[in-house]
Order: sequence, then structure tokens, then C-alpha cells
Amino acid sequence: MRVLNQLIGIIEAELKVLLRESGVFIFVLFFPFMFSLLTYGAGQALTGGEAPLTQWFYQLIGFTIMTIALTMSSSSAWYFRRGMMTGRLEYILAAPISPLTAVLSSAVTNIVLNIAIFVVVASIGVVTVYGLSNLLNVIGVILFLALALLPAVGFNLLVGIATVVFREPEPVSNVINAIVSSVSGFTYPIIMLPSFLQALGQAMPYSYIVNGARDILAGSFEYVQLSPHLFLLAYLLLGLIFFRIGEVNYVRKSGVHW
Amino acid sequence: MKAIACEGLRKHYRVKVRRGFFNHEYSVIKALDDVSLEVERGVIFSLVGPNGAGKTTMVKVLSTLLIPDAGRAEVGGYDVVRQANRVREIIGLVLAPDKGFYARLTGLENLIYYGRLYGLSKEESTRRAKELLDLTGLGEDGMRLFEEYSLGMRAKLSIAKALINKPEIVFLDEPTIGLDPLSARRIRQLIKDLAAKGMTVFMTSHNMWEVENLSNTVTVIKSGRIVAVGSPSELKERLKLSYRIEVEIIADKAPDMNQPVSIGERGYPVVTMTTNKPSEDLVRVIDEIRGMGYLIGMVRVQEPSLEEVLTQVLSR
Amino acid sequence: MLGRAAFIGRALAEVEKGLTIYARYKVWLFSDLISWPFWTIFFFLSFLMYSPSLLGSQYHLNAFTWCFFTFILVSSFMWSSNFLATSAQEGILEYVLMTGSSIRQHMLGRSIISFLDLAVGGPLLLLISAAGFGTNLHVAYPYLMPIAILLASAFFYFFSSILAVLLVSLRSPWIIINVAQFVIPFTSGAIPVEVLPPEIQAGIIYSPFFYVIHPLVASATGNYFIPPEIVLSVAGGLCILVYFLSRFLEDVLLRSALKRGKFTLF
Repeated sequence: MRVLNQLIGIIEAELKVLLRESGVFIFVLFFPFMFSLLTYGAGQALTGGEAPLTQWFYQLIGFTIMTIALTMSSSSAWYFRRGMMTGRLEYILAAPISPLTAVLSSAVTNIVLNIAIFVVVASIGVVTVYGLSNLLNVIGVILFLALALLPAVGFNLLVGIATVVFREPEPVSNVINAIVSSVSGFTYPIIMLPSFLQALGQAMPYSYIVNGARDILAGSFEYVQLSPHLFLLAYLLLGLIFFRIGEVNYVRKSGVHW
Repeated sequence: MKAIACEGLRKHYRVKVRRGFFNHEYSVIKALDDVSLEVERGVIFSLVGPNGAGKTTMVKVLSTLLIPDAGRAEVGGYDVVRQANRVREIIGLVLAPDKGFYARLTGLENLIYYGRLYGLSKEESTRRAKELLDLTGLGEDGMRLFEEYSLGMRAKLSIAKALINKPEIVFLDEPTIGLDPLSARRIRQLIKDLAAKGMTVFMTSHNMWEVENLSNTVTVIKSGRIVAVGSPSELKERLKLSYRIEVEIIADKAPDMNQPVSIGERGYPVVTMTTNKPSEDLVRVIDEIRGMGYLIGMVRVQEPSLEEVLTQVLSR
Repeated sequence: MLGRAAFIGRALAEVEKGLTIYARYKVWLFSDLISWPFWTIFFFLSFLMYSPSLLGSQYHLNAFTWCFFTFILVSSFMWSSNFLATSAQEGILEYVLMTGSSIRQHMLGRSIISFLDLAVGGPLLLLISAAGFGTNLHVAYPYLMPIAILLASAFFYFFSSILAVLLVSLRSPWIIINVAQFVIPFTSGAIPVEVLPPEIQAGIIYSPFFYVIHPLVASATGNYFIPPEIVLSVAGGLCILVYFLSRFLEDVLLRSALKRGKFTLF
């Protein structure tokens, strides 16, 4: 009960902060449209006006999931960074609350808001490309993302630990963002990549998330596609374990002034 | 010519007041409301008042960082709005003492940087920076990165920065906040020395003891309005604040007197009184005690503090 | 009043500060070196996904390499706009303005980092393109390329100081910068003009950014859409214009910021 109360308290505070930074939402909503239209325009130019609309949709969904991935991994890094800058992290760690509760509630806030954004973008994309008939599929994606983003939370806990180890949150998240973006098949099929990068992409959760979301929206999803996600939950487990180890080894040893 | 003169200064802010997740409303804060004041050259002038009274706004307006809505102000004879660059050349400034420096530069490098922006050559700036590091007590800590500094070290560096251009007038917004007693004493001495050399010091502080000991003139500001001006002793006199007098009588038991008598810490009777005429009343009590044939063990006269002045002025 | 010597002294102080800070953020430099190859792959394939066969066209690979070189240049300078808001939040801007220094001079320290980003990131991109995608790098007008880079750098230096002043009072200036860093180059000549549809080709010349961006790509591909002497002259004129505009806007907007007391943003 006490943990739940703490969890809700942090989620409420985080939500207020995020909702008051409306610019971030406009960006997250606007970015996938902007970038996918930009590449679609270039694609039209490169193909002499023969680029199909489904390819725009492919990239729109890809850019949206990518924006979510980047926001989530950056938010873990920023959770520590801002916490360190404002002294909030020290207060949280000094309070009778598990740091894990604090980080997880921050992640839950991000998931909820990102799914809401995804619904808006995906609805526009689905109606434009497939018509109103596929709009109900958006509900399926909400359920899918609620499960599929859990490994991403674990992945981001690992990112959070990396920021603690290297003491510089932004460069660490920048490197991870670059790798995640290029190998996860957000905006192009990963078969276009060299084989070792394909393997790297398949080892991370995002390629499964983006392909699953696209297939559900297009109406071609099969339940067998859910099986990798069950294995990917190992990321959540790994994230939780490493976070605990990291917290014990780094935060307690060197304090939070790292 | 006055070091600082301002007349009818006004600055109002419109602030958003949040209510829950989505609702908000606006309210107006009168940071400065028709403020007029004058500061003589070479004095230490203190502006005191509660949080949000308008002290920092006043410092910002006078240091050209904020344009007032109405009124005019001159610093060193230059208009703070129309001749802002002239004003900037002759003043030094400490705002938030923990901010204003590059985290990944050392204290010395930060000072040299600012010195060069003020137009000093690199050599001159380096020499001056080292001099100021010694003067403020930072010394060898000047070679450490700013991000490693404690709050006290940051405050010292801020003061050093304010002096890098050898200003005529310095504005110090809470200069000793976060400093340990020895460092604070060093900074206070530095402020006194600066004033003795003819520099005008305009400071704000919540430490009333410090203000009382340093200032030639104290101005009390409340909700953007000046509510009292004068030297610390003038303010006490004007408010007719009472002195507390204690006279210890060497006697086995309390004599019968016109004043209340109680038993003091050393076990002797002590006459205690509060008065606005301390000299006259003290002589009268001593005469009365001696007239009764008793010896006097100890006399203590307690002056009213500036804190009492502030409390009285602000509670009106 | 301070003279020319002080002006140069301030500029040198800003440059020296920029270089010192850059040297102290080694982890950042290291992270950039790791990230850039991955971002290069991402951008290349995001565009070429529409026509994978172009991965075999040396002309297109070369053109797209210079397209992304242009992006790095524009992006580096655009991000320096964010620096002013950070400087304001850290209380540095107020102290700097107190010295009588200008925003353009203050930006110089950050712009040096932009130059270094380009100096390191540009060749790295060319290397990745050649080694990773087998691009046969080619510069059709080698004598025009340095002029194009210099003009574009000068233009975006002044432009970023304008943007910085416009964004200084915003809570999240990075959002606008993030969008602008893509929109400006990719809609104004970074994508080789010759591959664009005729309607877009007709409209693109009305973008002022086109005249500073197009020469960077066209000097490599050899396909100047407008004669180089005209494009580069217009680019030179635009640099002067944007310089005066930055001075004017700095005065106007600084005064407005001083009135609102918005340096610290919140």
C-alpha cells in the first residue's frame, strides 16, 4: 500500500511536469510526421513519383516508435541528470523509498504518455492509408504496446545504470540512441543492414515492437509474433537486477555526486 | 554627484498561478512600486526586507539587467536604461552566488574569461584574477573546476568576479550566503576595505547582524515599497526602540526600589528596566542604589538590534 | 568605451573558453565519434529505403554523402543556438552582458565547437560513406567547395545567433532547433536539386537558405542549378544581411527580454 502510494505520488508529479512542457508533446507528435513526409518527399523524387503511400505509413509508425524509444532512453538518463542537477535525486534516495520505485514510476508515466501520443499519430496514419475500417486496430496496438514496452523499460534501466557508471548521462544515451535507431528497423527493413548489425537489431526489443505495431495496424498480425516478447521480458528482469546491483555498488559507494 | 539615484521606479510582473493539472490564473506582483532612493559615494548601502520584497529586482534594475516599467535610475551619473553600457563598465555584480560560471572551467579560468570580456589583456586578467583569488581566500582552489566547488567557494568566486574590472560601485545580492563564519568574516572585512578605498557597496542580506555592522545606510523594502531609510542608529532612534538595562547589586537580598528587582545568574539582586533614555535612567538607578549604601556588581546595557527594527517596520 | 583591441580580446577569450571546455568534455567527443557512423547509416537508409537500387549508383551515393555533410554543418550551428538558453539558465549570460559583450561574441565560443564538430564529423562521415557504402567520393568543383563551406559557416553562425536570441526565453528551445535542423537543410538544397520534381525545383529558389546550402552539394556533384557565381554572390550578400539582421534583432529582442526579465526563463 505504501509503495503504491509512493508510486502514484511520483507519477502524479511527473505527469504534471510533463504536461506543463507542452513543447515536448508537440515535438513528439510533430516529429514523426515531419520526418516521414521529408523522406517520403525525397522518396518521390528518387522514384520519379512512384513511392507508395504504404511506405510513408511504414516510416511514420517507425519514426513514432523510434521517438518513443529515444524519449524513454533519454528520460532514464535525464531522470538521473535532472535529479543530480536539482538535488531531487538525493532527496529521493534519502527518503524511505526504493530508488527502483522512483525510476519505475517515472518509466510508467512515460509509457502512458507515449502510448497516448502513438494513438494520435497512428490513427491519422491508419485513416490516411487504410481508411476508417482499420481504425479499431489502434485499440489492439494499445494493448500490444502496454506489454511490448515492458522490455523497453528494462532496457532503459540498463541505460540508466550505464549513465551512473560513466557519470555522463547524455553522451551515454546519445550513443545508445544512435545504435538503437539505426539497427532496429524503424524506418527501413533491417535486411538492408550488414548481417552483424541485423543481429544486433534482433537482440534488442525495438524491432519486434515496431514490426508488431505495424502488422496490427495493417491487420496482418499473428499471435505467434507475441512469442519473442515473452523472451524479451528477460530485459525487464535483467534491468531490475542490474539496477539493484548498480544502486548498491555505485550510489551507496560514491553517493549521488558521481 | 550621488553614486546611485533613482526616482519613482516601478516594476510589475504578471505571474501564472497553477491550479491542478490544467487550470491556471494570472496575478500581478508589484516587485517595485514607486521606489526612490539615493546612495552616497563610498558608503555601504544595504537593502533589507523579507523574501519577495523586491530586493533582487532592485539590484537587477540598477545593474541594467532589467528595464523598469516606469521611473528612472542613475548609477555613477549614467542612466541605467539609456547609458546601460556606461553603467556596466563601472559596476561589479554578484547575483545568485552559486551560478554564473562554466562548470568545466576552473575558478581561475572563469575569472580570466570575465576579465578579458571586460577588456583586460590576458596577462592583466590573469594577474588580477590571481590577486582576487588570494583576496577572497580561494587561493589554490582557483585551480579546481567550478563544478567541484562548495557553495561557499562559489560565493567567494562570485565576489572575485564582481571585482575583476575594478568597479566604482559593486552590487552584492546576499554576498555571504552559505559561507562559514571565518569566510564570512573575511568577506565582510573585504567589503569594509573596499568602502574605505572609496568604492560604493550596494548589498542585500538577510543577516541583520552583518547589515548592522557593515552599513552606513539601511533601507527596508516591503512589497516593492521602501518603508524605512537611515543609518542603523537613526532607524532605532526613529522607531524609539527601547534599551534594556541591567544593574547588579551586591546585597544578600533585594532592596526595596522603584524598579523591579529579580535574582540574577550570580545570585545577587538585579534591577532590570527597558527605556528610551538609557543614559538618564542608568544614572538615576545607579544614584538610587548608591544612595542606599550598596555596591554595584555589574552594569549591562543592551542596545536594540536591527532585527528588532526590521520586525517592527515589517509588522506595521 | 572599449575599442577594437578589446573587441578582439573578447573574441579570443570566447574562442579559448570554447576550446578549453571542448577539451574537457572528452566523453562527449568519444560519444559523437561512436554515434555518427550509426546516424549516417540511419539517414542513408531512411532515404534510400524508397529506392534501394540507388545503393549501387555512385552518383547518388556521392550526392547523398554531401547532403549529409551539409546536414552536419547546419545541425552543428543550429545546436549552438541552444547554448544561449543554457547560458541564461546557468546565470552566465547576465554576467556576460554586464561586461558589455554582445550575444554574437558570446556565441563565438560555442560556434568554435560547431566548427570542430564539422572538422571531425565531416571527414568521419566521408570516411564512413567511402568505407561502409563504397562511395567513390568526388568533388566536381574543388576550388568552390571551401568557399561554399566558409559562406555557409558564416551564414549559419549569424543565423544561429538570431535563433538563439529568439529562443532564449523558451522553456524547451531544443524542440524548435531539433525540427529546424532537419527542415532547413532538407527543404533548401541539401537534397540534390536535380532529383527533385520540377514543381519543387521551381519553388526552392525562393528559400534564402538555398543559396548557402545548395553550393555545398552542387560543388561536389557539379550540378549547379543556378550559375555558381550568382549563387555564391547571393550567398555572400545573405551573409552580410544576416549579420546586420542579427545585430538589429539582438538589440530589439535583448531589450524586450530585459523588459520581461526573462533571462532566467522561469
